[in-house]
Amino acid sequence: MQGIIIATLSVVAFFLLLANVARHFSRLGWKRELRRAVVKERNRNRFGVLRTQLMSDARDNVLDVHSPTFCSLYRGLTVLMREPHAYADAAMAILALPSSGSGDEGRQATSAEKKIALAFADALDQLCRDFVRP
Amino acid sequence: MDGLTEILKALTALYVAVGFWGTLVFLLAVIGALFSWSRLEDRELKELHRDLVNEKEKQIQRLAEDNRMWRNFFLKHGLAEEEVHKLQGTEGGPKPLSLPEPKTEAKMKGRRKK
Repeated sequence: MQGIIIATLSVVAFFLLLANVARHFSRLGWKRELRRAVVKERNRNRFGVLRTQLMSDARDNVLDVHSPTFCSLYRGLTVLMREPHAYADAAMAILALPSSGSGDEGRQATSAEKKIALAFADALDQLCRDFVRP
Repeated sequence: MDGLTEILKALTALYVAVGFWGTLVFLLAVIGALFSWSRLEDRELKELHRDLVNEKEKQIQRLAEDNRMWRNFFLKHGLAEEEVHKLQGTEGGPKPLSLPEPKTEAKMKGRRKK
């Protein structure tokens, strides 16, 4: 009787082990895809929130819609929000950029522009951290 | 087949060393550990799903906010502030009551406890 109990439990443990290992490996791809989707959506939301903030400031006349800062922020945020599939390429392109000035040094940025530009820089930094593997 | 023979040999050695009860406890512990592993994997997947749904929910709320901002902007032309809020159903505050809050970790834990 004792032998039967031990043998049954051994078989159960063995099949459970096999089932768990098989399940683990079959779900690896699914998990990786889900993780990527979460990171992508999180980054997309960051840019989306900034874009909404930018348009809200423009609506309230806090930002000048004709300023080069507004135009570059608007274009950058729109492209990044609409093309989440290209985040890895975008991150690589950002890292490959030379560390030069903005090309708009003659003009003093307003505090609202600075605030959004800094938040945009943070979001880009996070994008590079999430999508560029060391 | 060789692997199975080895497992049987190991089990027999275990049986000889710790007796029936020792082997039984060992096997039950192994089965318990395997069940826990399976539960942990399920939980990880559920958490990933929940995170994704939360991000989408945030996105929907943000788009609704954006939409409301522009609606507000257009309605304000020719309408008083109070009339705009009345039309939008936001007299009490800027956020309509129909918008749900995004699910947070704390809220999910609270729901699980219930």
